[in-house]
Parts: sequence; structure tokens; C-alpha cells
Amino acid sequence: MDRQRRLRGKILTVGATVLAVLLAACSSGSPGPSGSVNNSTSGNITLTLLESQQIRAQILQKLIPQFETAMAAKGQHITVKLVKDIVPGNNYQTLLTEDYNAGTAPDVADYGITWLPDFAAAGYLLNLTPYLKQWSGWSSFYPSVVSQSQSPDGAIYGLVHEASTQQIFYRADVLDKLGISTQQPTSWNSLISVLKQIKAKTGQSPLILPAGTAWAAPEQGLYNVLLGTGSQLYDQKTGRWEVHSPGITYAYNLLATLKNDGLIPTQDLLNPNPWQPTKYVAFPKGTMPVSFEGTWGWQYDWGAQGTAPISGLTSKVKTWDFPSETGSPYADAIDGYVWAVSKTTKSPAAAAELAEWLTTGKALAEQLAAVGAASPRSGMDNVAPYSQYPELIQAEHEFSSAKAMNPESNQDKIDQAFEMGEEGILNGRDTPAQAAALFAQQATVLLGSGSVEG
Amino acid sequence: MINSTARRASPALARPGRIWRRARRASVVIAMAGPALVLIGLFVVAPAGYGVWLSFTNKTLEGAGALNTQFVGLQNYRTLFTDGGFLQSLGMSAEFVFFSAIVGQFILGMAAALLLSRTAIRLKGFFGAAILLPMVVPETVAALAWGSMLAQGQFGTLNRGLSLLGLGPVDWLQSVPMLSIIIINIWRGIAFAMIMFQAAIESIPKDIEEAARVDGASAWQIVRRITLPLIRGPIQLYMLVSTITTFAIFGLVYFLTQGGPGQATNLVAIYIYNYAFQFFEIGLGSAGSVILLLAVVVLGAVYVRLSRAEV
Repeated sequence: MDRQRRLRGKILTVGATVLAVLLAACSSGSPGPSGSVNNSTSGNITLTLLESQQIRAQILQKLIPQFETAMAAKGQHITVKLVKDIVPGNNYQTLLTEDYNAGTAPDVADYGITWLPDFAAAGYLLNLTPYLKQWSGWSSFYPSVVSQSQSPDGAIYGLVHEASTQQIFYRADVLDKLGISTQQPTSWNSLISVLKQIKAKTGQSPLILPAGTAWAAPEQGLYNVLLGTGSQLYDQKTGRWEVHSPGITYAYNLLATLKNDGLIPTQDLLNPNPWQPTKYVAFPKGTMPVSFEGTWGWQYDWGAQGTAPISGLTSKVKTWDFPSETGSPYADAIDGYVWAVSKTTKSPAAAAELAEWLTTGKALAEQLAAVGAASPRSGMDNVAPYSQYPELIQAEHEFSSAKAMNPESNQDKIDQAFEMGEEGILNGRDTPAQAAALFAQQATVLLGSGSVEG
Repeated sequence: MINSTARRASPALARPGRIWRRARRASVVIAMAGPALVLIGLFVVAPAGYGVWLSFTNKTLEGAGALNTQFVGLQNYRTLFTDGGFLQSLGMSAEFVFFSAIVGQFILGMAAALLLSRTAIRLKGFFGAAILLPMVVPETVAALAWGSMLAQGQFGTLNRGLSLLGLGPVDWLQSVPMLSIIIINIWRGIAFAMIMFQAAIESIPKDIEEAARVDGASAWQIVRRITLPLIRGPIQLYMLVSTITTFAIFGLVYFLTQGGPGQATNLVAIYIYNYAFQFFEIGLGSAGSVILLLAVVVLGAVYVRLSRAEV
């Protein structure tokens, strides 16, 4: 009987231990690096701020103590913990989406505006409209910037702190040396003519055009072409994607022409990390002297502290607007990055205050100068160090006349379908018409037939 | 007072003892297997069950759909089977599994095992370690090493070798992407095949081979008529395990090609990853995973059936 009792005791002990270990495993999860902490009993607030790019994180590291001091002077004890997830864009989006879904997202996060509509629609973000309405700085934001960050119901879920214009950057020094005119091309045919002249003299594909699934950034590539056709991808009235828009076939036709004439580095575009041998090697060398590019090229890509510096950048590199079939060249204005506040934050007012402070005066100027972005609000021309970059200020002044394509919900899916069409052309499998059909079919698969126009 | 003899003799009295012994045995089994069962239930069965459930929903992590997950029946399966891309990915995975695991790893693993099981061979340990090395290298490191080896232009290691022979560079991962990843996976998997086959070969009694040799059998005849039939069980086990693991390969290929160029190496695992973690269409991604699971289960059942069959 004793043995039996001892055995029963052992079984109970083992069972209890297993249960305790499992319960401990379930309950001992730490808040995690991106969780928010609000020490409300002591009156102190701790905010978490997420950043994914090293250059931006370095600036924030410097600005955060200034913010904390400024708040302390106002009697608010706010501590900001910078969380650095330095990962590539796609991985960052995956991490962030999972964090939002799990309710463990940081209080404030920094990311590209194209993700904003989907995160807002999913209910992950705090509506900033009431905070911004009380903020004096809000009235100085450019209307085109505000409209891009506005959700269909008019609410603002992300505070734009960087804006950009997309243009065609070219190596003026190289073209001059080759004896090729640097006059603004007024039509795509005239640009193709210039590119053919370059190729005839260098023997290399001269144009860096982000296209295909590896680059995965049609907003930096053919969407700029689409904008000039008068077609639209998304119909605001119906809330559906126009997957049979004639502008798509037009853009694919242009891509096919550029590919067939050997004017773009097709093989590089099909490789992983296609920007590496092109934007970061060939353009700085001058062997691919023309590139679709955004304002960030001035600092982030080719600036003195950028990924692939070009010495004497502003004298060597100039910009053209995109040609248009109507003969009126245009730039494409895009909002760059936004501060978004998680809906689960325990300190919404403090989080909004942090976003506003980072988008004001010297703090904003330092970030704009570091990454090479145009100011989303007026009145920054004389604030150093932004004031020392006339090319950024020039880009800012383009906003009033630039065309723009607003990001919409499901943008990443439509982008993916569009990239697959591009890929079909690049690898020689599809004609432009087939690529357009593939795009429509893939978009319908990804979005569902209810979200696309038949 | 009942004595012990009477207690053994009476079935009515013996029953409580038997019941107690059975209960004790059962409780020991539960105590020994219980923790493992609980963990398997929590971390394997429950997530798999949840995955199956998700495959019948329109669960997404982005957009308005994230707020309203609904049961959609077989809609996700219909979508996948009508999407040429998914079927193409399944086909690519089958090709990848067949040529890298079933053909390449098997043949080279068997050859290595046969050679290394010969006692006369010199530097046996060195060769064994060299073949084992790819298996112990982390997946990311292996991918980076091969990425450097097959890099395009004159900087790739393989292209440098070609230039010594006066040949021009080849864009391996672009011009022959599927062949490249098949070769890389063969390189990585030979060790596992070799270990399994070598252990099996060394368990064959030596006197059988001796007798065959005395009877005049050639080396090839010994392998074909004696060695292979005697290690049929381990071969089939290897086939089962390598098929399952190769179907699930993701990292090695994703790090090298991300499924490209175009969709040329878009294996089903990469296809599922893209749906689930690039577009956050968890329902569709789960449906793809369930289809892959079923395909692997069917293949597993076929292998098990074959291993039971008489020769």
C-alpha cells in the first residue's frame, strides 16, 4: 500500500510540475521590445518608438533626449524608448503587421505611407484627427500631402513627416561628356531617343527603371508613367480597382519597348536586390547614367553619408520631369514616411505629442536633411540643416504642380499583381497585352472579384 | 480475516488487485508519455487544427477584412486550384523533390556510403567529415556561400574558375535557376542519406558478402543483389523523410532566389509564405499549407505501403 501511495504521490508531483511549467510558460511572456509601458501611478509615461532604418534611427537617438527635455520643461515626464528593428522593407512590414495583430505594437512607428490605408482599415491605428486639429502646426501642411494621408472617411491615421517627388535623375556630367543633349524630354519617344544615343555610345543599357517582382516598387517605376496617361488605378467613387485601365497597357508597352531595345538592365532587374548593381554601382560609376528616382536619392542613396556616395553630387546629377504624351512633363509627388500611433497605446496624447514634436522645426529639419526628403509642411526653408539643401527645397516646391497617386487599401496586392505583369515582360514570356491580362487576373485572385471592376 | 491463498483463489477478490495493477500501469504510461503528448498537442496538433480551420476562413491581417473574419467554406481551395500559379508551384516542388532528394541525394549518398563502408579506404574520416559538413552549416550560411559561389559576373567563385579555362561568366541563378537550387540541395542533403545508408550497410553481416565473393559475384552484383535488398527498409525510410523535408524547404531557396527569376523557383513553400506573410492572406496561405500537408501525407502513405510489400 505504501508503494502504491508513493507511486500516486510521484504521479501527482510530476503532473503538478508539468502543469506548473506549462502555466509558467504561458504567463511569463515579457512585454517584449515593442510593447508599451505606462507607469501611471508615478505620473511618468514611457513610450516606445519603432524605427527600421539605421540612418533614421541614428537621428532619432539624438532627438529623443531633446524631446524628453522639452516635455519635462512643460511638466510632462515622458520617456521614449527607441526600438530599432533594422530589417528590409518587406520583413519590416511582416513584423509590424504581426505586432499590430497581436496587440504588441509599439506606441509610435515610422513607415512608408503606402502601408497606412491597410493598417488603418484593419483598426490598428489611432485616429490622430482630434489631436492634429488642436495642433497649431497642422495648418502649415501642404493640402496635397494631407490628402494622401487621409482615409476615405476623412480621418488622419498617420502624420506625414517626409515627402518626396519622383523624377528622372541623370548624370549631367556623363551626358555632357558623351555630347548628348540634357534638354527636358517632352515625350517618352524623345526620352527613348536620348537613351538610344547613350547606348550607341556606351554599349550599355542606360536607364534604371524599377520594375519586376525583385525590385517590387512600381510606385518608383511604371506608376509614374501611368500617371501621365490620365488613367487611374483606383476609382474613388466605386471603391474598386480599375484593373483594365488603358494606362496599364500603355505602361507595359513602354516597358516592352525599353526591354526590347536593350535600354534597361533586364537581367539585373530579374535578380534579387536589383538596385545593388544598378543604383548603387552603375549610376555612381556613370555607366547607367539615367534613373527613375525619388528625392531621397540626394541623401539616402548618393549623398555624402548615403549608401553609394557620388562626390560633387549636385553638380553631376540633375533631374528631368517625366515626359507625357500631352507634352507637359510632370513630377510625381509622393508622401514618404509617416508617424503612426497604435490604437492600443496607453498614452495616446503623449504619443501624438511625440509625433507632432518630431514633425516640427529643427527636429524635422534634421531628419529631412539626413534622409533626403522634402518637407511636408511650409515654413521650413530657413530651418537648418534643411535650409542647406536647395535640391530638397526645390522638390518641396514641386508639390503644387506635381501629379500624385494616393495609396489605397490593398495597395500591396495591386502592386504585386502589377509587378507580375512587369516580370512577364522582363523575362520575355508575355507581350504587353498578355502582361495586362495577367495583371487583371492576378489582381482579381488577390483582391477578390468584388474589389475590382470587370 | 481472509488469508492470502483464499484471496488468490477467489476471482471476485482478485479483481480489485488486477484493476489496481492496470490502473498503476496506465498511470505510469500517462506519467511517462503525458508531458510529450501535452506538448505535441499544444504545439503540433492544436496549431495544425487551427490552420485547417483558418483555411476555411477569409482571415487576413490587413485591410477592412482583418476586422471581420468569416467562414468561407472551400472558397480558398477553389481559388488556389483555379490559380495557375499555385499548381505551377506544386509542380516545381515535385520536380525539386524528385531530382534533388530522390535522385541526387540518394545516388550520391549511397555512393558515399558504399565507399566509406569499405574498411580499406584511406582518409575515411576526412571524407566522412567533408561530406557531413554541408549538413551542419546553418541554412542561411549555406545560402550565402552558394550565393557567392554562383554570383553573376566575374566575381562569382564558379565564374572565376570558368575564366581560368578561358570561358565567359554564366549567370547561374538566372539562366539555370532550378538546376542551381537542385544541385545546392543535393550538396546539402548527401550527408543525411550517407549516414542512413552507411549505418544500414554496416549492419549487414560480412559473411554474406564474403560468400557471394567466393561464389564469384562482382562488386556491382553484390551491391545490386545483396546490399540494396538488405537495406530496403532504411532506403524507404530515407525516401519518406527526405521527401517530406524537401517539400518543406523554404529558407535555402528563398535566400538565394526569392522564388525568381520570374517565378522560376517559386516552390510551393515560397508561394504559401508570400500569401501568408507578404499579403497577410492567412486563410489562403493556410489552405495552401493544408494542400501541401495532404500531398505529403499521401506520399508518406505510399512509401509505407511500399515498405510493407513483398519483393
